[in-house]
Amino acid sequence: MAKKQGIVNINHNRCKVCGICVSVCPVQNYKIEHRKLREFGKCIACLQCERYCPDMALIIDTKNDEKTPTG
Amino acid sequence: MTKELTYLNYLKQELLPTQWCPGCGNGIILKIACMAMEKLDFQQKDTVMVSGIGCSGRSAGFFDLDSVHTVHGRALPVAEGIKLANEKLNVMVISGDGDLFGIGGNHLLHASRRNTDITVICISNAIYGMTGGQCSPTTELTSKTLTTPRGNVDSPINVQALVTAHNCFYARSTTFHFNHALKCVFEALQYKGFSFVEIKSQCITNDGRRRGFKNSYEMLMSYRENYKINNDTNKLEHNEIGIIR
Amino acid sequence: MTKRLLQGNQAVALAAVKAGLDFYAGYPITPASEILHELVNKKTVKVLQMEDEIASINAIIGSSLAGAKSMTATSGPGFSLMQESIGLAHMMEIPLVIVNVQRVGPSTGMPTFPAQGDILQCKYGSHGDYFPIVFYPNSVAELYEFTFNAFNASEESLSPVILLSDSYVGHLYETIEETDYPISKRTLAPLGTSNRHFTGLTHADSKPATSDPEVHKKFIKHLEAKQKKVSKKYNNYEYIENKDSDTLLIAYGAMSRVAYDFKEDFAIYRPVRIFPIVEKIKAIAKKYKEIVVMEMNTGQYANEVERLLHREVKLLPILGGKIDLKEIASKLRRIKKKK
Ligand SMILES: Cc1ncc(C[n+]2csc(CCOP(=O)(O)OP(=O)(O)O)c2C)c(N)n1
Ligand code: SF4
Ligand code: SF4
Ligand code: SF4
Ligand SMILES: [Mg+2]
Repeated sequence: MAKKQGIVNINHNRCKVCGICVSVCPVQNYKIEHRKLREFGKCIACLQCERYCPDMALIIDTKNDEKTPTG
Repeated sequence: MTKELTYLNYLKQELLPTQWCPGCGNGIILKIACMAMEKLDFQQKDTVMVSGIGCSGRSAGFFDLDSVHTVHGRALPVAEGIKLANEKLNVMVISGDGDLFGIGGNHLLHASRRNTDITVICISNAIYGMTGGQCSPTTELTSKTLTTPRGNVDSPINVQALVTAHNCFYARSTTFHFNHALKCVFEALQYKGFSFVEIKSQCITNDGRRRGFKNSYEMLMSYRENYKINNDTNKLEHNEIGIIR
Repeated sequence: MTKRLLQGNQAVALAAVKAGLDFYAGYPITPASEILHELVNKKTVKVLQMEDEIASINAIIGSSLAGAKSMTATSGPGFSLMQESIGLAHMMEIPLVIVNVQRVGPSTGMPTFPAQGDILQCKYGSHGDYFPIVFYPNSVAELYEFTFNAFNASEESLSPVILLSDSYVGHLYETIEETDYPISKRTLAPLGTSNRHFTGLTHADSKPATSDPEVHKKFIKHLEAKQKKVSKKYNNYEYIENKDSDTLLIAYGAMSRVAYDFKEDFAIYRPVRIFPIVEKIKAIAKKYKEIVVMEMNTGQYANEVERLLHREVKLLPILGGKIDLKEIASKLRRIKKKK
C-alpha cells in the first residue's frame, strides 16, 4: 500500500503558535521559527494536528498516490 | 483544492481567531460540538446555543446559530426556559465548571431533577480561568491555584453523583480523548432528557503554568496519563472516562 | 361584559392570560403566591415552579426569547434576587413582565404587611444604567388593566416592564369588569430563526463583545430613547384638583387610597406610571405652594420628585405596614401648620 501523503494548509491568521501541532506530529513536520509556524513537507496525513489545533488553523489535504492523476 | 472542514460551518468563522489563549482547550471543545452537530445534521433553524460567563462562556457567541450569553451561572434556567417554551428546538449549553457547579450549582441540581431535555457540555478546566486562576469547584485536592497557594483542601465536586442521582445522562471525557469526547457529545445530543458531558480541558495560562506545566501539550498528555476509558460501568472511578446512561 | 369579584393578585393572573401570557416561572412568596396558584390552573399557560427567583427570571428570559410571552411575580426578597438578570433583560432587549407585590423590608421584614420599599429598586436595583417602565396601580380593576399595559409596553419597548403592587392591593377583593383590552403583537423573532447573539456584554451588531466606549454610549442612549418613546403611550396618572388648597399631596398604590380621604384639604396627585415619572407633574406642581409625598418608605419617590421639580418636597413616611388614618390625619395637619 502506498504511503499516505498530506498537504498542510496553515491559516496563519488563526494560528496562535501554541505549539500543540508541533508536539503532536509523529513525523516532526512542524517547527516554530521566529514566532511563526513552519512545516517541512513530511506530512503523512495522520490528521492529529488538524484535530488538536484549538484554533481551526490547520487543514490537511490527503494526497494518495494511486488516486492522484499524474497528468 | 483544499478540502473544506464542513463542520466549521457551524461557527461564525469571521470571528476567528477566538480571543482565547494559545493552546486553550476551549477551541477543541468548540470543534467537538460542531462535529457532533454535523453528524446529526442539526440545522440553524432548530438549534440554540446557550452559555454562562467565563472564558468558556464566550463559546455561544461563536456559533452560527441563535445564541444566548447569559449572566454568570444562569445558562441552565435560560436553556430550560427556551426548551420548555419551544420543545422543537435542540437546546445546547456550553459553559464552565465555575459557572455550572459554583455559582450555578443549584440550577444543575434542579435541571437534572426536572430532566429537561437539554444537552450541557461543561468545559471543565478545574479553574476560574477568566478571573485569573482561582480555585474552582472541580479543582483537585492539594492543587495549587491563585486562592489555594498551599494546595486545595476541599474535595472537588462529584458531578457524576449529582447528575446520575437523577438518572440523567452523564459522560466524562477529556480534550486529549478527542474521538471519545465526540462520541460522548454525539450520544448526549441524541439522549431524550437531561444530558451532561463533562470534558476535562486545559487552561494553560491560569492553571497549567502555576502547576508546573510548560505548555498545553503537556497538559493534554497528562490527560492521557491520568484517564482511562471505561465503557463498561455504571460508575466511573476518579481516573476513568466514559458514559453513564 | 362580565363582572367578577376578584382579588388583586387574581386579577393580575387573569389579565395576564387574556393579554397572551404563554409562559410563567416563579417561586412561592407571600404576598405574591396567589398569582402562581391562579396560573397553574390555566390550560393555555406553561407554568414552572423554579428552585428560586434567580432561576425564575432566567427561565422567562429564555422562554421569552423562544417566542413566549412571559411573566414572573414575586415580592421584595425575590425581586432583590432577580436584579442581575433584570439588567441582562434590558441589555438583551427582551420583553418580560415582572410583578412585585411589595411587603415590608428590608430582608424578610414583615411578609404579610404592605410596604412601598422597592420603588428605587425598580429603577436602580441592577448595576449600570437602564430605563425601566414601571406601573403601580391602586385597585383591582386597575391591576387588571395595567397588566395588559405592562405586557404591551414590554413588547413595544423590548424590555422588562415592572408591575408594582403591594400586599394591600394585591390581597384586596373588588368587583371588576372583565374588559378585553387591546394587545400589542410580538415583534421579536423567536430563537431558531437566525444567527443572532443575545448577550449581556456591550456588543456591536457583528461582534459579540466590544470595548468601544462610543458603542456603549450609543446603546445606553438608545435604551433611554426607547423608554421615552414607548412610555408616551402610557401617561397614566390621576389628579384631583383642589382650588382651595395650596398643598399637593402625592401618593400611589395602597397609600393613594388613603390619600383620597384627605381630598377636602389637599389636591391629590397619583402617578400610575411611576417610572419614568410622568412629565405632567411639573405643570400640576406649579399650582401649589407645598408638595407632600406620602409613601410607605422613607422618601424614595419624594427624592425622585424633588430631583425632577427642583424644589423642596415634604415627606410623610408611613412605615411598618400599618395604616392608621387618625395618625396620618394628625401628621398631615402638622405638615400643613408648619409651613
Ligand atoms: C455574579 C458574578 N460574580 C462574579 C463574576 C466574575 N467571574 C467572571 S468569569 C468567573 C469564573 C468563571 O469560571 P468558569 O465558569 O470555570 O469559566 P472559565 O473561565 O474557567 O472557562 C467569575 C467568577 C461575574 N461575572 N458575575
Ligand atoms: S496547533 Fe494550531 S494554533 Fe497551535 S501552533 Fe499549531 S496551527 Fe497554530
Ligand atoms: S497530519 Fe499528522 S503527519 Fe501531517 S502534519 Fe499533521 S500531525 Fe503531522
Ligand atoms: S485563561 Fe485559561 S481558560 Fe481562559 S482562555 Fe486562557 S487558557 Fe483558556
Ligand atoms: Mg473553569
